[in-house]
Formats: sequence, structure tokens, C-alpha cells
Amino acid sequence: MQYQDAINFCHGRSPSANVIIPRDEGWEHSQPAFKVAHLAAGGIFSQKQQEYPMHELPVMNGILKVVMKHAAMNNVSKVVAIQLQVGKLSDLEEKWMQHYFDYLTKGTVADGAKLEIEWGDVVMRCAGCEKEFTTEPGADNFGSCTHCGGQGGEILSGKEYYVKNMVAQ
Amino acid sequence: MGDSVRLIEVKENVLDDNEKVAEALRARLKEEKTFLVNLMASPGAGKTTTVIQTTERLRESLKIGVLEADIDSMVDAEKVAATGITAIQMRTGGFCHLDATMVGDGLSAIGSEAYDLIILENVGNLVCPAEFDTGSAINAMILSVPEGDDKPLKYPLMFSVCDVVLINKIDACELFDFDRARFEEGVRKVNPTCPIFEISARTGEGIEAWVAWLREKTLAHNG
Repeated sequence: MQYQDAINFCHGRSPSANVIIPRDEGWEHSQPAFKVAHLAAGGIFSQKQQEYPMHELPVMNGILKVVMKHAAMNNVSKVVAIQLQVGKLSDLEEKWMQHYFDYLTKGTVADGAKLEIEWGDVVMRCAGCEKEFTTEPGADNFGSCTHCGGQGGEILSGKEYYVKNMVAQ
Repeated sequence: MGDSVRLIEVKENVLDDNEKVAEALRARLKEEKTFLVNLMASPGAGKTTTVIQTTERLRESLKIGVLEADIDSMVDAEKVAATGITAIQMRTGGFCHLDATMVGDGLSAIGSEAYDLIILENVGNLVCPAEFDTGSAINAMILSVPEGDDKPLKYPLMFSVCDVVLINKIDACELFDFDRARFEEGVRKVNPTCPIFEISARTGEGIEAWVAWLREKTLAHNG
């Protein structure tokens, strides 16, 4: 089941292409915006659970692509675990990341692989004193420079999706 | 027995693929002398109305095209096309944001090289679009007064990636107790330098200043 089929299954529509760019003559050009390695039907994509699949899916597919590439490069027969660093500014939920990943990896060498997620700090460069500091999203003092007390700056780190290592056979 | 378990170094950024496509797109648009603006906001913040107000004032001096992106329907593209501006509607069918590849398709469909300025109206969403580089020259976002002055605290990533912020529905400030200073304070926590324009896309208030800024940026980019 392709990605778009999974979404349409969720909405009860017949499978159609992902990106439709209509032309004056009524001709429609479509190109899959996203391909997934393997997607199981049913279960997670039931309408009761959520209206739209969250974007855990494209990110998890991105992780899968990276993992499969390195698995092939290293003659891996089975991926046991994947060590990720995800920036704290990401809105992804750990539980859903593993959930989507489990469906994407069925039948692949990464089937059953566990995601080990390290949450990366948000690092900013202070707009005032230009020193780097770490700050906690959601906290009252978010964006407060720990050196000079100034407010705000440029975000240097905290939005990454980074595959560090994998544990494999 | 089975192969022994080993640790394999990967050290790769997941969004690298999209980044590469986005960078290539930016380079291509620079050569084509086409300025692409990625416009983001919540549903109902006033993206389409702002696009129409903007194109109205710039169409004399610039060739403008609009790429509309929605989960479904042609409503937005039809509104823009009714004013005589070429608009292409991309329907993502559930996908919550645009990535660089999809934007590349849209640009090819509209024939981007013929335009000085293309406004990409992204899917109505304050979360996902912030994470995916569309290959645009600049990112712009609209926050409408009814949404509240605390949104920069709730969506730091979105406010941090924008080159310009528009506060829309400024004519409704009193009705919604919108504290302009509090809003700016929240923005500055994650974005020290972006200009903030106050507009009413409905009445036209403040649009001139925003349009002047956009025109300047477009001409500077296109050379």
C-alpha cells in the first residue's frame, strides 16, 4: 500500500495521486510526493485514531532510507536498534515515531528495530552578547541568555533529525 | 549461531535529501531571476487574502505567479485566478506540508522562469512547514490577531525560520486583547532581526509598507 493509499484509506477515498496540478485543458499531472518502502494496511491508519497522519511519517521514512543505505553498505542482515538524536524543537512524539517506524519496516532488515532517541538541546547564539547558550523549550526562561540575561537570539541547534549509529547483525 | 551484533556509525542528517533539493532549487531560481516567497500561517489567518492584496499592488511592476497548496480543494487558486493572476493549485491529499521536491514540481508546472516573483502559499499549519525547506528565497509567516499574542512561545521553530512576520487583522486588536509588545517579545526570543509588519488584509491598512519591503527584496534578489 503506497503512502497516498494509506492516507486515502484513512479518509475513505479511492486511491489517487499525491500532488495534482490541474491545467486549463483539464489535464492532470501527478507525481508521487513520497514513496515508502513498505506500508501495512489497517490498524494505525483507522479513522478513529486521528484525522490526518502526522508528519512522523515522512520523517520516519527519511530515517528508514538512511538506515537501509547504511545497512546495505555494511552487509547487515538485521538491524536491532537505531540511535537517533532528535532536536527538542521537533514536535514528534516518541511513541508515534516507533509506531510508524514499525509499520514502515515490516519485511525489511530493519523489521523490529528499536529507536533509541536522545533529545538534542536547543542551543542559541545570544543576540546581545553573541555567546552560545542552551535553553529549554516551553520553560519560562526559554530564550534567556545564561551569560548576560539578554532575551533572544539565533537558533543554532535543536531542530535536527540525526541518525547517529545503528546496532546490527 | 547468528552474526555477532555490532555498532555501525551512520552520522547522517535525515532531512539532508530535502536540503539538497532545496539548495538546488534556490540556485536555479537565482539564475532564473525569480524570487520565491514561502508564505506560512494557520488556516484562516489570511494567507490568500494577503496574497491577493499583495499581488494587486505589485502586478504593475512585477510579473507575479502564485502556487497554492492545500490538502484539498481549488478554492484558493480560484480566488487568486479570479483577479487575473496565474495560480496553480497543488492538492497534497493529506500531506501536512510541502517539501522541496513538491515545490519543484509546482515551479515547473507554472513555468517559473517567466516570473519575477512567485508566492508559495503553503498548507495552513504552524508546525510542519517550519521543518521542511521549500527552496524559497525567504520564509514569511502571518499571525492573525484572533490567534493570540502568545503564539511565538508555542511555536518557536516557526517563528525562528521566518525572514518576515506579518500580524494580520490588526483592525481587531482591541476585540481580542492582542498585546503587540508581548507578541514582539516572544518573536525576539527566537528571531532577533526579522521585520514585523502590522496589516489588515481586509481593509488594506499597513499593506503598503509590507509590499514596499517585498518589492525591494525581489529586486535585490533578481538583480
